Amino acid sequence: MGAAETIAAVNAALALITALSPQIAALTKSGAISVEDQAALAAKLEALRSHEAFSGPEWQKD
Amino acid sequence: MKLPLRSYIFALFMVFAMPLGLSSFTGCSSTQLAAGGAYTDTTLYATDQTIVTTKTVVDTFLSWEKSNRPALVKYPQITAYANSLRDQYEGWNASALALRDAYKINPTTDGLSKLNAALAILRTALTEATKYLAQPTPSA
Repeated sequence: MGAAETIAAVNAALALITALSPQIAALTKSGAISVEDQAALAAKLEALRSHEAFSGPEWQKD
Repeated sequence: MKLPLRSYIFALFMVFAMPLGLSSFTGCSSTQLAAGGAYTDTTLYATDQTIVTTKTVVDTFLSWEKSNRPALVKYPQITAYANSLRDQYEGWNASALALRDAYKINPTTDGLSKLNAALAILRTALTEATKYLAQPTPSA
């Protein structure tokens, strides 16, 4: 395994942790899901109704 | 014994991503919702959590695949799967949203079954994307 692959693997782990950190933080809270957290999830869901959510550079084939 | 890095990544996935994604196996959630929020139905909350979390992981996977493509030449299946997601995921997402909206309006058993089927497709994408994120790591 080369250095580039090692870097890619570490990047993968870091990217996953970073991307999921808000959800991880939410999981660690105790009690009911707050009004604010509910609003945040609803807003994120609404954003996924737009084609723009799938038009970023990562969604483009080369 | 030294565990491969892949094991650590899968462990991270099992600890964090899977509970987030699988918590929306509708009907078995113990989630409690604060009154006055956007949700009154834990099934819908868990459904939306799955849809949003899966999209987050898929975005992460696609971005990572694109950024690290030179290092991934030995793993053409990763780019192939990424491209299949680029082709199909928006449609899967739209189907899940449509069935979610239909269930919200008319929460029937049949509607829930169809919604769970759509969510299962998203969960498969979540699992596959995470598997590929972990693939180019030492195996021993």
